[in-house]
Formats: sequence, C-alpha cells, structure tokens
Amino acid sequence: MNQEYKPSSDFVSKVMAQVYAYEASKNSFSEWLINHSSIRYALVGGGTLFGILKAAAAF
Amino acid sequence: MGDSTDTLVISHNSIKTKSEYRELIEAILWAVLLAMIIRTCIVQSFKIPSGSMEDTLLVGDYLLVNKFIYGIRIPFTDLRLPMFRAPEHGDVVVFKYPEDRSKDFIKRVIGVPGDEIEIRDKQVYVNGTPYRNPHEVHKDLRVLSRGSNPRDNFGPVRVTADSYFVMGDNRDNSYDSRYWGFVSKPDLVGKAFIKFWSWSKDTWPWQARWKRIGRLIE
Repeated sequence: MNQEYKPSSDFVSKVMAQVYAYEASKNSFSEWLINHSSIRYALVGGGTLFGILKAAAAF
Repeated sequence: MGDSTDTLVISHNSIKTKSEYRELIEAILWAVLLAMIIRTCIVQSFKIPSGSMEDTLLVGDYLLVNKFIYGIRIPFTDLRLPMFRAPEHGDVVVFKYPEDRSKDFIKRVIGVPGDEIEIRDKQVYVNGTPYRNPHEVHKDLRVLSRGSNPRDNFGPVRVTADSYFVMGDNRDNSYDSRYWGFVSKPDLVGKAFIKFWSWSKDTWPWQARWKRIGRLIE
C-alpha cells in the first residue's frame, strides 16, 4: 500500500465523530416547524382562535 | 480533538432543545392568555343544545356573545365595569341560570326594571299593552289554565330593580322567567349578536346550515 494514502490510526473515530456531529445537527420536522417564527405566530393565533370558539352550552 | 468535538455538539444541542421548548411553551401561554382575555372581556362563543329559542336559534347553532355591552365582569368577583347600555326589550341575552349558576341560559328580554308583566291566553302584556315580538312562535294550540301551569296565563308581576324578565321565543316549550323568576343584573353574561356556525344534526353526516351562518341575531 502506498504510504501516502495509509489512513491514520484514529481515522475511523474521526469520521464517526463527524457523522455523529452531522446527524445531531439535523433538525426533525417538528423542530423545523417550531424554529420558524411564522409557525409560532400561527400556533398562538390558532390556539387563541380555538380558545375563543370553544363553545359552552346555553340552554 | 475527538472529545472536544463531542462536547461541543452535545452542549449545542442541549441549548437548542431548551430554547425550542421555551418557544413552544411561550406560544401556548400566549394563546391561553389571549383567549382568556378575549373570552372574559370581549366575546365568547356558545352552542345551542335545546329548542327553547326556536326559530331564532336552532339546536346546533353556534353564536358569539358580546361580553362588554352590559359591563365587563371582573373574574372571581361580582364586580362589573360600567355598562355601555342596559338590556332592552327584545335583546337576546345569555345569563347564569338563577337556580344553578354553573349553567348558562339564553332567552329574550321581555321586561326591564319597573315593567309590569302579565300573560293572558298566551298574549304577553307589558305595562298593560300587548307585546308581540316578531320572533316568538307558538307550537301548541292548547291554552293551559292559570292554576295548572304559568305557561299561558301568568302574573301580573312587577319587575324589581336590577332584574329582568326573560322568555324563550318558543313560548310553548321554554323554561324561563314564568317558572323560576327574574334574572338579576349580576347574572347577565352578555348579548348574543351573531351566529357563526350551524349544524343540522338530524341526519348523518351532519349538514352545515349555510344560510344561517353569519346571520345577526335580532
């Protein structure tokens, strides 16, 4: 094997560290939703509207 | 090197997760707070489960009630802010049922403080003058005698101060002031003003009554 391309002894651990870091940095769909300010405003608005329109019985 | 990268990734994630939860909780708290303020002070929705206000309000109607017109009620107290106007003859009002304040009733104001109310053979008299609301209906042709039931012959009674005499538009099928007396001013919840939704639950699947939606309550 060409010594120039021989992997270092900690090659696998370095690659795996990068893989873990990439996976950890990925957002789930719910995180992506919550991260958007417009979605948060919609949550507030929708929740408020639901609270107002939740009807009590009047006999 | 590898250890420091792991530490950085873990700490970054914990900060981000904490922030997201905080944002979500803040959004929920804002929604609850806004809804509570609006329901208490401005407008509240009600649904109709009984036919006592037919044909003005049908079972399955959803309506909005103006909470500030008769004075905003301060929560957990009997105090009220000043009213924009007092209830008038013909107003459709929501109020706490005097015999069980956990229940809300909706009826039409027939008598205001000082009025003399009498019913003779289904005809309502206010201060001796026949009072006929265009929305009232009679679905039972029988006239019940005064002794057996107050439905068709009642009074005369004078409405006391800070009280109101209310009746359902479905005069022959309404449990109202004829049976349990006056509504006191502190028990008023608000004035019904618009129908925002209406279901007909007679058939499955339920049908929306589109023509009723958005109609003002007169």
